[in-house]
Amino acid sequence: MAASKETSGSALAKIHGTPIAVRGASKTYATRSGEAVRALDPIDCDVASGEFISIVGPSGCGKSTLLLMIGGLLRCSQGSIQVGDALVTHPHPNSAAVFQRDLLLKWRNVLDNILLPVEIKKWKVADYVGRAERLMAQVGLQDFKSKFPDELSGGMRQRVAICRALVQEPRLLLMDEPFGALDALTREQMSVDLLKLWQQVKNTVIFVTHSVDEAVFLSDRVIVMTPRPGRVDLDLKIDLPRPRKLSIRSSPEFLSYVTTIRKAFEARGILVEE
Amino acid sequence: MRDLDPDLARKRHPAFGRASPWVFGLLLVLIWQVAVPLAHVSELTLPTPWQIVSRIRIDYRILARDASVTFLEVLLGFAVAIAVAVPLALAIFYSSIMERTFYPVLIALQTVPKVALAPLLVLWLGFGFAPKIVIGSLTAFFPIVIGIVVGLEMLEDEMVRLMKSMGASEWQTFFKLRLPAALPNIFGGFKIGIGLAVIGSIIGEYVASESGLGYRQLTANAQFDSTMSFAALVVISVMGVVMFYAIHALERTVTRLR
Amino acid sequence: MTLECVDMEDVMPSAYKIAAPTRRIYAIACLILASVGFCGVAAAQTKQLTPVSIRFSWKLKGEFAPLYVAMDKGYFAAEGIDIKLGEGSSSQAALGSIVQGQDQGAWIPGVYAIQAISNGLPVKVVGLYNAAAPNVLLSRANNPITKPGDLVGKTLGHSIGDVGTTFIGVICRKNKIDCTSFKKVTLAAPARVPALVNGQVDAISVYTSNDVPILEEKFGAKAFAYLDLPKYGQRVMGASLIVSDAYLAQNPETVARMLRAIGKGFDDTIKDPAAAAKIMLKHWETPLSLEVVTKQVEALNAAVETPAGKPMGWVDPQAVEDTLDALQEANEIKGRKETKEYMDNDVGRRAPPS
Repeated sequence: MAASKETSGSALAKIHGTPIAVRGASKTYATRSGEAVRALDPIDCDVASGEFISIVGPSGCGKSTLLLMIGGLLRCSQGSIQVGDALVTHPHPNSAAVFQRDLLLKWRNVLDNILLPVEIKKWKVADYVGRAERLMAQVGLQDFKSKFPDELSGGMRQRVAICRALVQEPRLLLMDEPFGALDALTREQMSVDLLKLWQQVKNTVIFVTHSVDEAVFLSDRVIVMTPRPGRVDLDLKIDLPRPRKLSIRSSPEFLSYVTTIRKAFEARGILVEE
Repeated sequence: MRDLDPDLARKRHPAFGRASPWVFGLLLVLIWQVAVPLAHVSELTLPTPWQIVSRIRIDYRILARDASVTFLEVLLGFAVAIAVAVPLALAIFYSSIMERTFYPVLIALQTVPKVALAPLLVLWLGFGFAPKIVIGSLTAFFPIVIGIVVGLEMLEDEMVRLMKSMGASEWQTFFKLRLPAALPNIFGGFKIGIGLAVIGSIIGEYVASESGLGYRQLTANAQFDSTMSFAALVVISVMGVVMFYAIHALERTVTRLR
Repeated sequence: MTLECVDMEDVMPSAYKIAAPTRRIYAIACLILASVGFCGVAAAQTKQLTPVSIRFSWKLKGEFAPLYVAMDKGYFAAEGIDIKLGEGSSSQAALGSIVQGQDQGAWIPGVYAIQAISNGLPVKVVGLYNAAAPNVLLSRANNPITKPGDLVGKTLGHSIGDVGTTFIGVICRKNKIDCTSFKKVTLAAPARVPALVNGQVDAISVYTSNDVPILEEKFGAKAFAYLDLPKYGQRVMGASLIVSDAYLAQNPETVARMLRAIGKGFDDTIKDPAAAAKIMLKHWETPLSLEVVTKQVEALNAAVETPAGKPMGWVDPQAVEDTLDALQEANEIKGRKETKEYMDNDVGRRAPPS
């Protein structure tokens, strides 16, 4: 989808990111039969302010669990997580999340959905309408602000979810496989749009995905996790120039990063060809 | 060339779709009107629609007064049912102990025929308004509770997680998410409940009343006045239909506003 | 009656001490209120209107006319009673109501009181007005049943609460016919008359003081044939006044006054049934005509059998015993008490007030 013509003043203000420190955070669940299942082994990890981090790994490795713990939506069984100066015990007021399903309220139109977090945080809605409209323009939804979710396609709805997250000017953006439910072409477009937005706001992003290509394309660092119980297998710095264009995906540097990650998977028995 | 798409054909003649229930109803009434004298059925057994309508016109004032009494009973019974159902439903939803405690009692209450309870209620509460309102609310109560509980339980956990990620308190989550999402189910329960409140009030009037449509029907029966008995029944049905559609209209308004 | 105004200083905490002049105002206000209250109470006591409510067994019918006459003509008020008359939904509900204390008197067919007392309900019959309930077996004129023998091979329509068909066994025994020689089917009460009219049953039992005049007006007097049940030996108590044992023990004077007022109402009703019917219609919203209601009242009057020398409403022990016999015959009671436990004729009401 072609980017809309940007008028001056429609660019987004930069948000300062926030550093994250994960110290020995692990998660153990109790099953119905009473046994303890370790979903996540103790993780140690540091994220710098304004970094774009991806977490990749096979199903069940605990990547979403880690994301939710950083977001304060799940409690650590052991260890601790700090976002900025604060110990995480509940969702940080400066963080926002985008999940795999758009989770838009079907009885609110696009604009009201985007402004939902503003209402919840009891900020003055009128002050944020302009920001919401700028965000919509950035993702090509400026003509849809009075439409309802059932009138939009999946990709458009997810864009609304991203706007909803960003309208809060979050210093930390958590994304749990946000493009997982979309078709391949839309997915690629969304990655481009996301980077375009992020280039302007430059907050800290934690992005969970299955797709190695997507992780390398988007991030400054890729954290590769082992199968359950998850541990950090590999913490790979991605040294590719920004802003990143889709054409970069055929470059040798890109491919070598992807290969490194895939080899890490193979060593764990994933994606092994007989 | 005629369009052969059946969906399009239906859309081209919306008037027909809207008129068909009225046409059907009128047809039934006509058959009734004609069949009764043809089959030599006496007015005592089955009066004709015309006789019923004429009787409603003649005794309009009496029936209007009875209708207002019954209407008030239904309204109060329904209101009491909602007033009790809402906190109970919330308790059941938010606490599994409450759920386990109350559900069996609720179901037992639902299964007991209110006709059997009615004379006991008269014994305890006397012959005034109270037994009718109590029976009306007991009858209407169950579908309202279930409507609310199911409506709240149907919500996906992920949406609650989204609200929490925005820092919403449980109060905010309830009023911005849980309640609006549950409205279709809640109104479904209301729609079933209002019909049952009517039935319950009439049952109450059967065992304790000095006015009202159920009372009118009962006295008409005692005086072998089938036409008046049917007239009262017709008014009860009309009242039930009107109240149902009032709830429906309320639902449309509330849903639009949420 | 005195009212003490306590010194405010004693009852209120020191933080709320009130200034002296204010306290004087309070004291005067107390005094005024006290005298007003005292006057009010005294006034009410001189008026002395006792509230009494009587619950009927069913919806209104001409049979209740004497009570409406007594109310309309002020006989209850003259006896110091503020009367309220209420329609009921069954004899059992009316009896329940007086035992619970919601009503003070029940006006029902006495047979149900006798049955209830046999089963232990703490009530008494204090007034009996129709010693034998005026029931008839109603049949179609083209298939008449006018004597017990006509019942053989026929179908009788019965519903719960129908006195005539419940105690049909008495008719069989006293007239020497075989009860198994005819069928008895149970119907819902509103279905009885249509079933008779449509030929599904051959006879049903109805009251001359209620249903018969209505049906005659609807279908014509020639449409039906009748079998007078009391004439053929079925004597079970009809219109009666019942009170609870508790109320009787605590308020014998009031019960006596109730009976006096009703007795006067009955005397007037017997003297002029048409006038009684008119009074009844003043308080009754019904499509029934004056003629029909008058006929109902006349049938009620015809069934009054107070023996000479006894006051109106005197309870005949023989009537109680006949009723008990019928109840036992029909297996409607298990135990039978002493006759005097069912009734009370000595409420002291018979002598007129001095």
